[in-house]
Amino acid sequence: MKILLIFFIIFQAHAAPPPWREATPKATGVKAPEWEAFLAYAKSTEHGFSTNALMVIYKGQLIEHSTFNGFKKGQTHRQWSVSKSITSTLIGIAIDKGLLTLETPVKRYYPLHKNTKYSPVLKELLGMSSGLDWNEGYESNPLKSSVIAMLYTEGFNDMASFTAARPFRAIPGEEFYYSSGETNLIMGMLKKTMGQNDYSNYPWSQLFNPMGIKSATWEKDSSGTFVGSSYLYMAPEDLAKIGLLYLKKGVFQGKRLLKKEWVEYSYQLSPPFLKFSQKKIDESEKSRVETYGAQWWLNADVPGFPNTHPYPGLPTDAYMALGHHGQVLLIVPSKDLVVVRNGADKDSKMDRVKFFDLLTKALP
Amino acid sequence: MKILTLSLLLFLTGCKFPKAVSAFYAKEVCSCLFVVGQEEEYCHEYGKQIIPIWTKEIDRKAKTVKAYGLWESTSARFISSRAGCIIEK
Repeated sequence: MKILLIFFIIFQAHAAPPPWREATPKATGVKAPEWEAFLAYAKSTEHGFSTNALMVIYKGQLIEHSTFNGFKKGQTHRQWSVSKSITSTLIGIAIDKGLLTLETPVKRYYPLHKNTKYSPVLKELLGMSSGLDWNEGYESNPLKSSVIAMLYTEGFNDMASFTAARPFRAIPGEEFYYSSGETNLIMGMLKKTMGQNDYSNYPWSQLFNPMGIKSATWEKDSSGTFVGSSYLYMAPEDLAKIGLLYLKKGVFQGKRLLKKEWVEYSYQLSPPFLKFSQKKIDESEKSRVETYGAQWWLNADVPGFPNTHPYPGLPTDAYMALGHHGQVLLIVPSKDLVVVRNGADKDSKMDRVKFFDLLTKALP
Repeated sequence: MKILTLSLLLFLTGCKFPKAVSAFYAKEVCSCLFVVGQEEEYCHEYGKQIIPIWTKEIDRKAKTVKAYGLWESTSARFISSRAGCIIEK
């Protein structure tokens, strides 16, 4: 009887229907010439970038699902900094379970720089505003790059401790600057709330298994902390499921996995953006500001400064997980849209503004 | 010649960056081969940087990648399908 039950469970797991229906773009009302223009750009190879996988789920229907360059459907792909947004998902679950709060101080778990009077808390790490000094340049500035030092030289044994020990360059919560170290510090704090076995299973027990995600690999540093900033690997099809989880405000195939309030918190502007001044916008020498929530990139305007959202073609409720070499998970609630694009653009030449603009022009 | 001069300068100044050359190659080629499942030629290109590594050893049976460059050596090892690769030393 037990064996029969096990077979039944295995059969059910394999028989789980995909969370989308397949449809032609035309059936969903997509405008044909504009859609072709979008696909031509996304799939082109003459612009110095190269797409490995492209998925578009519009109104619950999969209208585009292609792979290129020998990359197969269902094959695990590097997601680089898309990992940060999935780290945020795990933190939302951990907060719901009472393991952490937005006000949990870093110093409860990791010693800070010896001369500091500051005490950053979890919500400031989520919003990339801890005040801990950081230089995120990769190939552009390898000698001064904090992220290269963390991943490959001084920090790879314990990335959270490496980050926590950085000197401060700003008051926590006051300045936004993107830091992969902060995400690994978040993952380190999560680790300290439970035993190593529970922690090693956490992404699977809390998120991947309930969603039927089977392609995920999440690498750790030598201290056993998940490299939340960079080292999640997952098939584009599974990443699209995460997109649908957010699109449905934390519910996946009828099952609530994430609180609605956490999904909404994810795309609230990180506090430094609420304190933006005209001077700061002038200093950036750009009319557009790349805005950020809780480990998610946003397309929101800076409050008080209309039309500063970074992607003019996209609705302002769009938010996204973005990774090195052109990884994209785009969620647009007002369009009922999820897009996954995986690539290996070493020169980062894909123009995301153009990519998003062409896409939204094709939608009714 | 420029790369050689820069390499020597980095080595002589005690900068920790030289370790990154072999560490990036070992770790990212390990993940490329044993996590993503790409071909060796593709992974070698993926692991290339401005300063090239000097030697490499890929052991497909033990699932390890060892790289040597700028007088620094790094090994990375595949652990499991969930845990992927890790820099050993």
